[in-house]
Amino acid sequence: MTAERVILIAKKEFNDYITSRRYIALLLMLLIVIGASTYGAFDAYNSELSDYAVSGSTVMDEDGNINSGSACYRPAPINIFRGIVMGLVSYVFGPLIAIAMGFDAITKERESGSIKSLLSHPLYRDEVINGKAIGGILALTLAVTTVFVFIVAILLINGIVPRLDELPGIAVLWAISIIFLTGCFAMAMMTSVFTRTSGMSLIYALIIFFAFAYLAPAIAPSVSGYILGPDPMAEVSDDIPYEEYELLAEDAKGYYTSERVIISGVNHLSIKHNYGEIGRAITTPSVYWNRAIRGDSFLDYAEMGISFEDFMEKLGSNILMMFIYPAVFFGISYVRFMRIDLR
Amino acid sequence: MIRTENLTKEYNGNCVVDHLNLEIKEGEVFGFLGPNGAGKSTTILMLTGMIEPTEGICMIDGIDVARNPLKAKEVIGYLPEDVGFYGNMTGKQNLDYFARFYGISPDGREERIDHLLELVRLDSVTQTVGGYSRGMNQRLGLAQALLNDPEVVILDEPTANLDPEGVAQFRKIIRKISDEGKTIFICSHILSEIKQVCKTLGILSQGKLVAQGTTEEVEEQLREQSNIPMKIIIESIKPLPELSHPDILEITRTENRAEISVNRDIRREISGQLQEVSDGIIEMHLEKPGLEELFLKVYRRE
Amino acid sequence: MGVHRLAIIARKETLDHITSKKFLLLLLMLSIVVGIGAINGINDYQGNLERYKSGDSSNIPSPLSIISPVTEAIGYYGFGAIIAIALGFDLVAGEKETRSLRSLLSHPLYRDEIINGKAIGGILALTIAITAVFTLVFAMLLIQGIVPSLYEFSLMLIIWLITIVFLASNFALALMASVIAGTSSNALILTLIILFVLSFFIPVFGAKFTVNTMLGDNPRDEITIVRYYANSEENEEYLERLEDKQRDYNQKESAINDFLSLFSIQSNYSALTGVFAKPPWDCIDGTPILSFNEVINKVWSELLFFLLYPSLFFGIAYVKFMRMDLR
Repeated sequence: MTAERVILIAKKEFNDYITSRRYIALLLMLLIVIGASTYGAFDAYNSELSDYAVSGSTVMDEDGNINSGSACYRPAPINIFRGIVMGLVSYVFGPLIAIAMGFDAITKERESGSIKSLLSHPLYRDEVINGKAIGGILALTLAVTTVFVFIVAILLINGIVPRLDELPGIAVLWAISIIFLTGCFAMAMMTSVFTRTSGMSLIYALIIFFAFAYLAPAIAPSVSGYILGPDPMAEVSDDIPYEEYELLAEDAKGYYTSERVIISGVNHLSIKHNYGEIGRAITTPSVYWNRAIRGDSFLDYAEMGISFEDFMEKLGSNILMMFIYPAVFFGISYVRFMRIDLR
Repeated sequence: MIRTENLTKEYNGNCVVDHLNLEIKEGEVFGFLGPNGAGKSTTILMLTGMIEPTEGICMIDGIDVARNPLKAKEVIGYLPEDVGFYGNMTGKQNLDYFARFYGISPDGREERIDHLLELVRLDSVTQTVGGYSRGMNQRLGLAQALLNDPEVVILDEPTANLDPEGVAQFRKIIRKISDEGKTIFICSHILSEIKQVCKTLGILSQGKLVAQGTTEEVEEQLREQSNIPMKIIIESIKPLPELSHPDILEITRTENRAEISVNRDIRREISGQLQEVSDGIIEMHLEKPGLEELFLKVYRRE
Repeated sequence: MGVHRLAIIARKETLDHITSKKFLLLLLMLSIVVGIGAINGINDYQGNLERYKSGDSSNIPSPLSIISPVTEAIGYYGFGAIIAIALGFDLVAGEKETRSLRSLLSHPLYRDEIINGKAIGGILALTIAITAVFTLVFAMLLIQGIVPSLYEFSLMLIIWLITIVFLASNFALALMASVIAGTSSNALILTLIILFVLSFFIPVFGAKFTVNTMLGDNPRDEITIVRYYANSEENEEYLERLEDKQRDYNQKESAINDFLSLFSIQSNYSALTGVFAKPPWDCIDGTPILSFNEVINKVWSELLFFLLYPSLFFGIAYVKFMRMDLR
């Protein structure tokens, strides 16, 4: 495999993507979805800021709702970027751009017969699949960058300037947004390698996306219930003495810890969940870390002293899964493509 | 059997078929030729009742196709170019599905389908159509066109995907159904194929019929329209004299051979000039431009 | 149009759907999701039943409450839409691509018989799917010893019917896209784009934009400030006026949101099934039986749009198919 040929193919694929009506329509859709979510986040930010200005702070209650009152945290411009995370996580329309780019990467060439022409020229099969992957990732990078530029521009127009120390966070969010969409793209490309028609490839891609994104979190409690048995506190009557109740609750703590581990484990299968976790940690750090630590009082993120090690300990597995997804799907696509019968 | 009068089809102001007048008698095997974009497929779509003409009429066995498309389809069998089937069903299942529209009884359908599959040599094939080769697909297409034992069979590029054996087989089948008295309308690019099988031809160019008749009649009509001259070839043992005539367009000559381009046969008129070498003349004949050459000229016009 | 020919096409289309891998896979997925929803619903029901028996609650739980997670899976989570769209998107575009449409049209049948036959075939297949899923849920109820009354069962039947119309809307949308778009993949993308406009752009983005433009700023922020500083009678009056303004704002915002969410097929489905999945003690005028007037008053606009959509999409699909260029 030579870099030159891969680059040639990647360039062609990239151009094809960014000049297609489909890409532009879906990019518009992405901007609208994220625009709407960010508008909501912007609204919330302004509310919190006015609360903070009035009372000197906002406060978060146990449910994570923000009320005015005594000390919690100071709203920051990076909170508004939560809109990007919510936009990509809440609806299928955001990741759809990535799925729509990958689902016919191979099938359309097989359907039109151009794959045979292409491979009759001096290049290797792996250069084709790698070139397509790179071209797609570059197009997605352009899409995500467009979204971020759009959001930053809106913020600047409204006189909201991200702090200098928030820039690394924004950069990381940009990077993991690209990785998230790359995961979706790789998954769709995989269905494209396995199916004969573009239509069926898209259906399978959507099924897999929905299965991982919704089914996994939905069945997580049931899986945990199946493995661990029923909740030991559920059958406990209200009539028993308080001391006995406390003892039972203490014993049940082990159950709840295991339950959390299992549910978290199953949720890790959802790339959407992983992205959401990391995204929330970056864009709403005070809320996220206060919830994570469950201390006695609520603190501003700046005062919590969260280190890089803490970050990796809490989110390392999520970050790992974010990388595993595209790697696994691309890997499967690669192996399969090298072996498919092109007749 | 097939008659069109001023048959016209316009798309967005563009005249794709321009006042076509065709007359094909019962039992004829008619070849319909023309370059891509000439309007052949559009004509066929109108003949088979799939689209309505902008103007004019189209009659098949006395039935006005536009007014009674269903009745017309009952007497027509059509093999489209690049015929397609339902890939998830077998050949037999595909034929059975189409056969239901003719109101044939289940037993009748079974018998007819078995006969047709045997005719096109697909009787022992059990796989679904999705796995057929192009040749098999084409043969199934022919079977599908004959399901209703039609009076008129319309074939669009029937031998396009066939190997030589398949082509020979096809020719055999066409001869057989022609012997049964069916009217056959074949649309093709392959002139040699058409000449082999068809008694009469029609040539379509830019939506207009430029020639119709037997092969000879069509040749004559095309030649009159074209500027391709005839050639008088003279070969002699003795050196040929200088030849002149007002109708001579061009002479290419060596000492003993001359090729004279003319628009009409002037052999009698120049034979006088050859008298002094008449005992040395080996050969003198008239070469008319062949149908291939004339046909190519029509193609180049497009 | 011949009924016999229509029946031939519809029969073939239905069989094609229910024997296809994609249908069976989607049905499996739907069954799993609905099954999980039903299990959760049954657990809640049994918990509520215990509470009712022990006297903690005065409301007897109804099996209808188990239907809610089922309709949620089909509507809100989009599984119903996926299965319906998956059946419709390549019905016409796919036949054009495989060139079987021309073969089909060369036989004695009319074009409208084809499009109608495909529509009927798809709806029949979807009916089979939903009936299977509802039967599964009903079987789960019976196994758990939960037996709905005749009245509750008839409401479940109504919800079953509403679900079929919901699927038919999505199917019709995909069929329409299949006729309009040149290829099946473009048909699918077009379907998703239209769904995006109807279920997100108009109800969510459009609503936010309209509220902002027509109603201006939310008085909430001002109220917070005033409340914090309110310490005299003057401010009390001002605060009361602000609170009235807030109520008025909320009402208008609600009205705008309600109107624009009528454009969302899924939102209408949720509203309609929500009305019929109400247990007897939760009905509006306190009577145990849901009255026709009650239903119409509550959801007449949702019902209107709900029935409008499949008609509109089928209508467009029909007209476009009749005029489609076959070249």
